[in-house]
Amino acid sequence: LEREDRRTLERDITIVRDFPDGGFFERVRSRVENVLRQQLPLDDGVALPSADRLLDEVFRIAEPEYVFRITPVKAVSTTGIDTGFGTVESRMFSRLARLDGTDAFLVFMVATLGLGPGTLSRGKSLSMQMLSDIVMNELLEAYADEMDWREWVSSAIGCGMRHTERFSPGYCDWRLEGQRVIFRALQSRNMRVELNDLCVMRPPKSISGIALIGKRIEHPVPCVFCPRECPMRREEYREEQG
Amino acid sequence: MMMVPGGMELKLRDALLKHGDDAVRRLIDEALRLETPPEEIRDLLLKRVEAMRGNLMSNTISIPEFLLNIDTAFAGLDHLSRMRPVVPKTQKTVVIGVVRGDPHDLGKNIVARIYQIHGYRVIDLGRDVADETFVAAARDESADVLALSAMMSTTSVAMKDIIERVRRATPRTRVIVGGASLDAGIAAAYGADAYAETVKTVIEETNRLVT
Repeated sequence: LEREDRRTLERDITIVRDFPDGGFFERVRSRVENVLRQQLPLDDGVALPSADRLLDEVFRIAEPEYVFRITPVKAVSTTGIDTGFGTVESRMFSRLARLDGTDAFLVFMVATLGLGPGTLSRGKSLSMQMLSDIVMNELLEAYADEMDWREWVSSAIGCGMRHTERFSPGYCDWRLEGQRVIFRALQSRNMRVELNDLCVMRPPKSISGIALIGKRIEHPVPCVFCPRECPMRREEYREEQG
Repeated sequence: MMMVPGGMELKLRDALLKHGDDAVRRLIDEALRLETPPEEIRDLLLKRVEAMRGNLMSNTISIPEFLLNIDTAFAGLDHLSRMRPVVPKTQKTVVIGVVRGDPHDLGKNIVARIYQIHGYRVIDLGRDVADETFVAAARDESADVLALSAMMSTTSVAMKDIIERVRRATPRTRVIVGGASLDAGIAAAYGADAYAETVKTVIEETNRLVT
């Protein structure tokens, strides 16, 4: 990599506290509607208007925060990736870095909606609790996706690099304890998200993850290497890769 | 003594499908006015809940749709109990909660409501519950069943210790566990008497423990 490209990609801990603009609310609304339309009868006249009202409310009280850091990979082995803040102990994810090795960069990220939205479902009916959960999950995922794009994906692509999708502790073969690596990399007194000794984040409506940036990344997710039946599968297993 | 008014079952089904809480309350009022025994009205509501749970088990309806129906059914049962309390002959007690450190309580809330609808007395301890609170509640409430929930692998580990302590404090209490991070093997390793994979099977599993 050119020295200039490395400088462009590497980032120290960065904290951003805004929602993306340019129609973000409408895009989230559309995501929520899609989810509900998949799960509810077409003529349901209760859930969609309620979800709309909830979305308004969540936007009003949310305190969004996106924290990230990008550092060079220290070493790649068959069992994990050494990040300098601890090892990402995932055989599957480390395979995504096999071609780039130490030329690859690791992105550490945490996104949250803050503590406020979590209070919305208190004392509500079960269906409203579930609707709140759907609305907050879609908002949080959309927020993280768009912030990933705004803060690092676009510049990585600009440098001619490829990248993986977000990969989170507790999924695939990466144990939940992997949260500690992410929080070591992002430790900052100003960060609103905390990790407790059981690796649970507070506020609960938060997501954490890592991603790889590299010139020779072949796949966005490790599913292509894995033959297991899995409800979280995002790509077909490819036997020649496995 | 009047039986359930003609057509009520169909009207009740429609009202539940359309999430019409007021319509269900009106139907109950009408049935009570015609001197229908409250037990029969309750049984009719339960029959509809069971039909919806059957649809959920066969994947004919989604969980959100099921919950909308359950909310309406519960509004009906709540209204009925205010108008004419139905006292069950025997009522089993379930103590339920989410283990310490775990803030995810939606699944537990759904299961607690399903227990209520099926006539269980429910002591809901909430989420992030200390081990000793479970043990004390199971003992003090003479719980027939202790239902433990955990969504994460790191938090579910607490179940093993809670189960051991409950066994010593109140040996007659049966323990059922559930949550995303568990399976039947882990539940058995923790020493649980039963494992509920989803809300679809929790009543069958619990009834098996207490009968």
